[in-house]
Amino acid sequence: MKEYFKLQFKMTNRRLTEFGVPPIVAYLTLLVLFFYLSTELFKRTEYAGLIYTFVGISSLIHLAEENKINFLKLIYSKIDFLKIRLLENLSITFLFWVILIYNKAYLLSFFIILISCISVFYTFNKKNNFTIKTPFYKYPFEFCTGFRKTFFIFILCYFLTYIAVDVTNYNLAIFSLLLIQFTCLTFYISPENIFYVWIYSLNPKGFIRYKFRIAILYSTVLCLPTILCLLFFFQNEILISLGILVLSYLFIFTGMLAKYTAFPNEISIREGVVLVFLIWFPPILVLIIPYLYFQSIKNLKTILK
Amino acid sequence: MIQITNLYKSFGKNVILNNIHLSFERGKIYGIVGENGAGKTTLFKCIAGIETYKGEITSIYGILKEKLGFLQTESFFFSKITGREYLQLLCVARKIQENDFDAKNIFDLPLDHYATTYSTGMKKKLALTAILLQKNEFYILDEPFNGVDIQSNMIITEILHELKRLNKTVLISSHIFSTLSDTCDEIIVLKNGEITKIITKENFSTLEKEMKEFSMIDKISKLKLC
Repeated sequence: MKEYFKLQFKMTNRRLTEFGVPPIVAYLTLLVLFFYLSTELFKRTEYAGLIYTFVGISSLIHLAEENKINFLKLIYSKIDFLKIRLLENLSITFLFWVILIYNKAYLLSFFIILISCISVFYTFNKKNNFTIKTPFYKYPFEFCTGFRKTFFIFILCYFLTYIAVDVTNYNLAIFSLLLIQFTCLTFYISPENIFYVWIYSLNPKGFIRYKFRIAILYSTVLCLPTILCLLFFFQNEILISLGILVLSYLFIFTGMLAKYTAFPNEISIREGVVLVFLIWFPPILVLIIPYLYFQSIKNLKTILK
Repeated sequence: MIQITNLYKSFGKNVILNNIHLSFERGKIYGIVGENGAGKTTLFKCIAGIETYKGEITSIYGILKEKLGFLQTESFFFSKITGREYLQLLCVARKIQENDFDAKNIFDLPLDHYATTYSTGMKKKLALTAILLQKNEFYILDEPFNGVDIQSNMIITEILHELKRLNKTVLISSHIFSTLSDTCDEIIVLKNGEITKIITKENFSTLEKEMKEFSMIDKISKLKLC
């Protein structure tokens, strides 16, 4: 059992090293970021506890993936299997329930621990998943697949938009818009199998243009309810809202370009740092977008003639 | 016609393909055989342009990849993409307008289910249907019969004959000799990254005999089964 956790630790370290970050730096950065975001969340909204619980429980899903569970069942005894599952679940949600206790949300904290224990007996069976219909059939694949994996985030965002309108909280509505667009950005972060670029009868420029058009079109569909609420209920801030919307499109475009700059490899530390830096200083987009654009065109030339 | 001249491919110091000269004519089906690791899949990827290589590949189709249907040994499917969306994706990528996938679903696949929930054979049939809908001129089929049920195997064989009749070029790899002898005009033998023989239809039986003699008796005896 100890070996299993040692192996998990080693594999995580390998992934981080491949990404170009020394593991210790990554762990410390993630920890600081986690505490910073948690503090901000609890400062800014009274629904922080609920959001927090939701995210915490969601993190359990990928631990219960069917193939992994079957593998563990095959190689470990029943007792060891249950111990592993329990330890995994409690450690992945550890920071969530500690922060909740710190913020005196004892009931929610207890709820996360309870779900962590109960889900030991649960397997996330991909094969029994019902097919979620999406409006993105015409131009697969990013939004069809991405939406199905993250649809619960959109439910949360639309709920936040409703609350924002209800309590006239402009910042919360903007947060909801940004969360939608950030989720759309994540659809473009991981590189697809090379086959799915190779199939296109397009040159690199045409391919990037095509992908960008789809990103704009479909991300607009997803954030339309929030945009409409912003325009209708927060009319004094219309220009700011539109500015933020345009900026979010540019972020999605930049993320997509970063992916194709590194393609078929994962986004490296260099592109990762650039993306993080952009969040702090968006004006640099003016320089970064043309740079990444030409780099990605150059890179895609080997696959798309 | 597709012409391969002096193709060379290596990964670091490991030479995968060396001195490959081949030509493929329209209306012909070519088989390729070789042990695991002989370089078949790498050769396919080089022809497709997925792998870089030294040497030259020319064709009468201009940009070959735009007329090429490539069925991989194990096609990759996104975790939440339905069969229908996969077909749509491959058609859109080639700017082909196809509205009635149900009518062309000859393998009776559950198109509205996620492709990752399909069995091995169903995935292969989905990938094959997609490249057929693209109306390509040249097909590379890497192990098209693997994992597929008997009825579908017969359908695939008939599809190959139909493609030949339509003057298309097909290159197939298979570890089941009978599937190649039933369909191919020529069989290319690849060993350690080099072409050792190109066999025409009248000599297929000799090749089959040679392959059986080489691989069977000695190797099994090494296991010392008791």
